[in-house]
Amino acid sequence: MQKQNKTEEEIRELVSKYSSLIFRISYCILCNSADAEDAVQETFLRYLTKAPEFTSEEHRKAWLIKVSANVSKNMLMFRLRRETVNLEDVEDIGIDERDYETFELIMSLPAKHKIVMTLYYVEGYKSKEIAEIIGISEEAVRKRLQKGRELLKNEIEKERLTCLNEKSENI
Amino acid sequence: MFEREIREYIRLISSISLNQSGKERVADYLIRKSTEKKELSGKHFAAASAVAVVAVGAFLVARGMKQDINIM
Repeated sequence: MQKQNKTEEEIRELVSKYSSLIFRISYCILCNSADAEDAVQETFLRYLTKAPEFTSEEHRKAWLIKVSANVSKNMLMFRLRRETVNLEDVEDIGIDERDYETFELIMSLPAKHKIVMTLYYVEGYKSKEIAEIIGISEEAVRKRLQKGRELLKNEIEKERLTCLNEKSENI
Repeated sequence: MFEREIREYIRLISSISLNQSGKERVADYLIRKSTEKKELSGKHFAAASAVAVVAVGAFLVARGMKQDINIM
């Protein structure tokens, strides 16, 4: 295993390059920016002390994603209660106020579906690559994507109907 | 083309990012940890060297005493 003796400049460059990606993955699992930031710190600390030799930049990126998902899942296990999104800190992470409701719905999806949906739709990984990164079968990835899409559609549809009912009641 | 819900998902999840002050906190933390680790490695080396010197010294003294006893 290669120990990373990085200069201050190299560390800042590393953080600048990958912190948002790792934060995004961690936030999807933890739904809380303070915890997600802790997960980012822990992930980079492991990178500096335990990272293997990387064959490519893609290999490095996949390793960081895998570690951040594992770190975040471990943090979630030790949490006493299920946390919902704190809308007060959502603006700090780049979400516009007009999108709060939809964002809250998205965050209410189970973490295991959000991870695969984020890696597939947002980061552009294929099912096989996602399976390797998070350590499940390709079939399991496809099922989680399918279920995630269904849940997302149901939640958004429910919200739309609720809004329509409220509007018609007010008329 | 993706369904509307997926497009919303992509749009909102892509927006999530760690802000600048968060990046600075993370970088500062890592730099601090990295410095602590180097200092600790240096201290360990110094301590190990001191132990080695004392051990060699003790060996030489013991050998010297043994030779004195043999002469007597």
